[in-house]
Parts: sequence; structure tokens; C-alpha cells
Amino acid sequence: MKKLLKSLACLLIVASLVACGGDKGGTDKVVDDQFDVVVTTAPVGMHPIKTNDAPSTMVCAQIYETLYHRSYDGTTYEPLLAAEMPEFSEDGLTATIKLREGVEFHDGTPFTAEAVGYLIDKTKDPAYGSMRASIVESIDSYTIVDDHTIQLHLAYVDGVLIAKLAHSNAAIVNPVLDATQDFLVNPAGAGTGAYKFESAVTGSNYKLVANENYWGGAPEVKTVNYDVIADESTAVARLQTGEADGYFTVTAQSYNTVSNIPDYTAVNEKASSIYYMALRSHEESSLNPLMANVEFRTAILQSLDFDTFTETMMNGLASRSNSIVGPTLVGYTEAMEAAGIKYDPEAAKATIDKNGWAGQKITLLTATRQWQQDLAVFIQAELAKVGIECEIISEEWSAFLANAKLEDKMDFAILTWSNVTGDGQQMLEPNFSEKNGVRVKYNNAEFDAAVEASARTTVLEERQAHMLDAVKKIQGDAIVTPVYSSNQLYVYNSAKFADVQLDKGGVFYAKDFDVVE
Amino acid sequence: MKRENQVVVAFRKLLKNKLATFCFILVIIELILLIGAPLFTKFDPIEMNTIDRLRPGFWAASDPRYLPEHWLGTDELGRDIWARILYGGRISISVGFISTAVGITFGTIFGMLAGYYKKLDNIIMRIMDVFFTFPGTLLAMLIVAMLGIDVKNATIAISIWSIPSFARMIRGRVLQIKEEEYITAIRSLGATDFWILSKHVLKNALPTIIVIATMRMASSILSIATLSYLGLGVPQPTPEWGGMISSAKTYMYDAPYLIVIPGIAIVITVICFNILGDKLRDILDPSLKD
Repeated sequence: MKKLLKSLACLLIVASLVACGGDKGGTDKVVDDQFDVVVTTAPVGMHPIKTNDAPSTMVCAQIYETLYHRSYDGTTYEPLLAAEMPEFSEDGLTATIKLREGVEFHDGTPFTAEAVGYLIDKTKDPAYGSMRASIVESIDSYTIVDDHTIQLHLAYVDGVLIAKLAHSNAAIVNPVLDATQDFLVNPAGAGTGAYKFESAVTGSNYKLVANENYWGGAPEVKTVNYDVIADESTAVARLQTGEADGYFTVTAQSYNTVSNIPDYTAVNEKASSIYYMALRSHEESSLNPLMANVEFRTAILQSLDFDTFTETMMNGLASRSNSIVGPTLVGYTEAMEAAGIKYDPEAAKATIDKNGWAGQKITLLTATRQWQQDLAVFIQAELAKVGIECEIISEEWSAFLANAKLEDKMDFAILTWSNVTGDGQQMLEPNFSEKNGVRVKYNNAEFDAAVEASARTTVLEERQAHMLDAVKKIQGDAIVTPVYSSNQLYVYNSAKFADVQLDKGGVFYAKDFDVVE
Repeated sequence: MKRENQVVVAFRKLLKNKLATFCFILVIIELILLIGAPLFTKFDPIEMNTIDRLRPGFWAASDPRYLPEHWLGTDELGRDIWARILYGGRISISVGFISTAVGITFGTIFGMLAGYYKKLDNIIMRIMDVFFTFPGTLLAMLIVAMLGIDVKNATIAISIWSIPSFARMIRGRVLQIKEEEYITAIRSLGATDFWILSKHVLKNALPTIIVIATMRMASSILSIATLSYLGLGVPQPTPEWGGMISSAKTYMYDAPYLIVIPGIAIVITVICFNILGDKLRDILDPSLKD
């Protein structure tokens, strides 16, 4: 009898523990208008000007807004916080921007031209820590005409001004609060967007709630909740159990699995993102001084069969291009395809043997995301075939981003760029120019001149010609090589939400989602 | 009459137990396969062939994707799984062996000193207690984070983690042995401490050491697999069972065999060593059960 009672008591305890175990990753899903997103990489922060990584942009895009934004199909730019497209003077050096009226920051502060001026001033200020100071480089000065009109005085005709002002790093922040509050960790009241910051557990969970006073009308989705789940298979499991409603960075390896989740829709569409390899080219910024030798770098690139990798590893969900400015970007021409260094392992081996470079060791820096790991191992194996030893250093995402800028951490790295603006010049300049290419450290005047020239004209053919020069230079010098352009793969709960989509930069805007009745 | 060696007697008793014998044979077969890996597979465990990636094994022999030369299939980068199991097992067993050996050596020294000399007991055991406050895996992770990720550092980490367990067990045994009458007698005849420790205490503690070492092998193999699973053990592309499971997580739904096969290898190895350790303990030193 005693034994039976003991057993029953144990069963009761276990049952009550199971019943209490309803917590799903720190958030309780009790409402149908809450959109739960799983992300596999934690945002670096929630300040749109001081962060430049895709996970951070995905959160910031709900809180902040830009003057212009790119349409979902990527073909046009449309006014957002601007009331209309800018008016340019005849010489193209003055842009008059009328701002939307009736817009407020989340703390009730009215949005005025002063906030735009603040963005320009702060982005130009090196001490502020903007990730993309080049966005406002062409703006010499500005004049606040009235509360809702600002005139930008340009140093030169800027062919990509609107694209730059549509970039996430040109988002408008609350100038009053920015002085006293760190938006990286607490963006309460910071933006004008459809969602306000509610709470965050850094690195684990981020919660946004609908801005009921949003100028565009209160969104149907009332809460956007981000859960950081580093392991992709666990993230997929969340979808399968219904605990997550969306996962926007599905890898090619997991696409097949997510496509078969009942009540969920998986989407595969062309995108602008590019995955590439960047090589250091100066003795002082590399671990192996041979990286300064263009022949050595060329041999490295000749040994890598990215065509086979893309074909076999990406399940048909990515495409290859030999140009760092891909076919989906403005400025691309077919002539760029000839710029890249082709796969030629025999030539690579011959060069390495001729110079006695067999056994040389180079260091590859990569993040811990699965696609980067797979690619890193592939590169290591390919290099081993030609006699080059490749050490892989894998780091967590924020550490990777920070260390990739340093002088003594690597010889080459695997990087990615979302191409939010859809413009080729905005691929080349922020990543590889002397001022902004902090990870690549190319520092080449000829390249910089070509990139700058492609921004200083609005004539497409002229822009294309300059970009072609730039691509030929940087790829000919074996500084960068494209690996693949991945399709945009994502999945969402279509039983509960409709009109879920990403723009061509891989960003979603929950304000455009509909809740299925 | 010559007294038979304890260990030989124990071994004979062990082989009378069917389960222990079975496990012993399995371990021997495993060691033969792992040591003779180049004889049992023609494939390089590191060489990739992405065209033949994710091929199923013999269980899907009727599948057109099955390639008989890869009888256990291929992984996400087209590497032969059987080759990676064999070569990966070499790493697991050798790390297990080395870390156990280091643990025994230093653990025995510290344990004997602590057990024999009262003055050293407190100092040594308090230091061991500090190590015990850390969960084992966390301690190993901390050490690897400080030293860097490679096989050598993972071995050091697991070795360091092993020392306190050995030290504590040996200390307990030495405390019992040093109170024996013959030890008192030898001491009174003028034997030095070194002589007593090395000739008598160590000899009598040997059965305990063997039992702990056998069981520790199992934990060490599991530890290196855990560290590799977490990305802190054997770096890619060198195969290791835990690392194989880790990199197969993404393919859990499409190719579960990538996880199951190295998992089975770990389970078989760890269970065999555990059972052998259990049986040896029952024979050599039943007091260790407590």
C-alpha cells in the first residue's frame, strides 16, 4: 500500500511539472495577432544608424522608417517619410524634399525636417559611429525651409541619392531621445514606424507592439516577437510545433523540410543578396604576408570550384555569377562576367609549385552559421588539393563582424551582402572602398575613383561603364569573388497570416501582413 | 606457493561473465577496426565529393541513389560515413585513452599524497573541490576557450577535468590502506614513505585505479564527443563522432542516418566500457559501489 501511494505521489509530481512546462522560449503565445519570428542570429543592436547587419535590420525595419523605400518587387523607389519624390534643381545639385505631415515619433515628438538634418549631421560625425557615413557623403549642407521641407545641397550630382536615402542606415531616429538614450539596447520612443519597442532580453528575445497612432494606420498584427534560436534545426522544430509563425532566413539545406510543414507556406524567390569571399591584400592587414602577392591570391581563387558547390550544395536554390555586382543589381552588365577569376586548379597548382608555395598556411575567418561552415570546409578541402593549408576560425556572429575589421585576424573571410538598395554602386562602395571597406581593406585609388564616378552621374550607361571598370579592377586583383546569389527562402504560417513577404533586401514589414480571420 | 596476480585473477573472473565477455570482444573488435582503419576503408575521411552528397546506406539498397561502395552512405559534403566513423573513432578512443592516462597519473599522485600525508590532504582536496564546483563540461569549455580549439587542447581540458575524480577516489583507498597493520609494520622496520607508497600503497590501490580508469574511458569518450558537438573539440574537417552529429543537425529530417550512425558508435563504445568497468568493480573493489 505504501509503495502504491509513493508511486501515485511521484506520478502526480511529474504530471504537475509537465503541466507547468508550458513556457515556450520565454514567450507565451496567447493571441492570434502576435507574429512570432524565429531568428538564428541575434541582432547586434536596435539602432538603425549604428548597426549594419541583417538580423539588426530585421528588427529596426519595424521600428524606424526612411525617407524613401524600395518597392517589394525592387523595381522602384517610393516615398515613405517623404511626401513625394525629391525635386532636383537643373544642375542636379539641390534636392528639395517635402516631408510627410502628421507623423510622430513613438514618444509623441513630431517628425520634422530637423530630424532629417539630425540624421545627416550625425551620420557625418565620425564620433557618432555610423556604419554608413558614405550615405550622406554627397550632401555638402542642408537648409531647413520649414518644418516639413528640407533642401539638400549636394557636392556633386549623386546618381544614387534616393537609393542611399532608402537604405536602412538612413532611417530617421528621434533626435531628442537619441542624445540621452542608447537605442542599441533601448529604442523606446526612437522611431516613427508601425511598431514600438516593448522589451528585449539581449541575445534572446525582442518584442515589439503595434503603434496604434501610426500615420499609415494601426497594423493588423499587434505584436511582433523575435526569438533567437541559434540552431536551425531547433528553429525548424519551432515551426513544426506551431510555436513560431515565420522564419525568414531558411537555408537551402532546410528548405525541403519547411516546405512540408502543414499550414505553412514556404517561399522561394529571386533576391539581391550575394555571398562572397574577400581576401586581404596587404602585408600589414594579413596573417600571411604572401596575401600581398596578386599571383598567390589568384591561385587561391583558381582552386575554388564554386560552380560545383552551388550546384550540389544549394539544391537549386542559388545561382552563380562571376561578377561581384550580380545580374539583379542596377549597374550590372554582362561584360562583368568576364571579370572574375575562373576555376582552374591546374593553373593554381602550377603557380603554387613554381613559386614553392606548397604548405603555405592561410587563415579563413567565418561565422558559425551552417552555410558558412559548409562553405568554409569546402574551401579548405579545395585549397588542400593544390597544397595550401587553410585554418578555419569560426566565431559567433557579432564577434565575427567585429574581428573581420581587424588587421591581424585573418587572410580572407566569407561575407554576405543583402543589397538592400538594389544598386551595384551600393554594393561596391560600402564594402570595398578605402573609406568604408573596413573588412576588405583594399585601399585602391583606381577602384575608388571608378566607384565614385559611378555615383556622380544619373546616366545609366555611364554608371554601368564605371562600375564595369571597378569590377574588373577588384576582381582582376583577386580581392573578391562571388560564391553564389542565394534565392530568398522563407516560411510563414499561412493559416494565420496573409500577405507575408520580404522585399528584395530580405526585410519584412509586419505592418503589411494581414491576420487571417 | 606463488600468489597469483590480482589483475590476472580478476580478468579470468571477468571472462566468466557473458555480458562482460561480449563487451570485451566488442571493444577488441572496435580497436582492431579503428587502428586498422586504412585496411577497412579505401576512402579518405576528409575528401569531399559534393556530387555524391547525402547518399543513403545499405538500408536503402533499392534506392537509385544508393552507391554500394559507400555502404553507410555519404554525408552532407559527400564524404564516406564509414571512413569518418573509423577515423573519427581513432580520435575519440585516443583522446579518451590519453586523458584517462593523464587523469590517472596526476590523480593518483595527488590522491596518494592527500591520503597519506594529513598536512597535504586539506590543501589538495580543497583545490580539487574548486574544480568540482564547475560542472565538468563547463570546465572543459572554459579551458578550451582559453587555450584555443584543437584536439590537443580538448585532450588537456578533459584530462584536467578527470584529475579531481581520480584524486578523490585514490585518496579514499589510500586512507584505508595506510591503516593496515602491514603498513604500520613496514614503517616501523624503517621503510621510507616513498617505498611504502610506491611498493605497497600503489600496488594495493591498483584494482581501484583499473576500475576507475575503465569507467573514466567511457566518460572521456563522451566528453570529447560533447565538446566536438558544441564546436569546441575537434575542428573541422577532422572527423569525430560528436562533431559528425553536430554538423548533421541541419539534415536531421532529410538524412537522419547522419546522426544515428555516429550516435550508435558512441553508445556502443560508452556502454561497453561502462559495463566492463562495472564488472571489474564488482570483482576487484566492491566498496567502490558506495
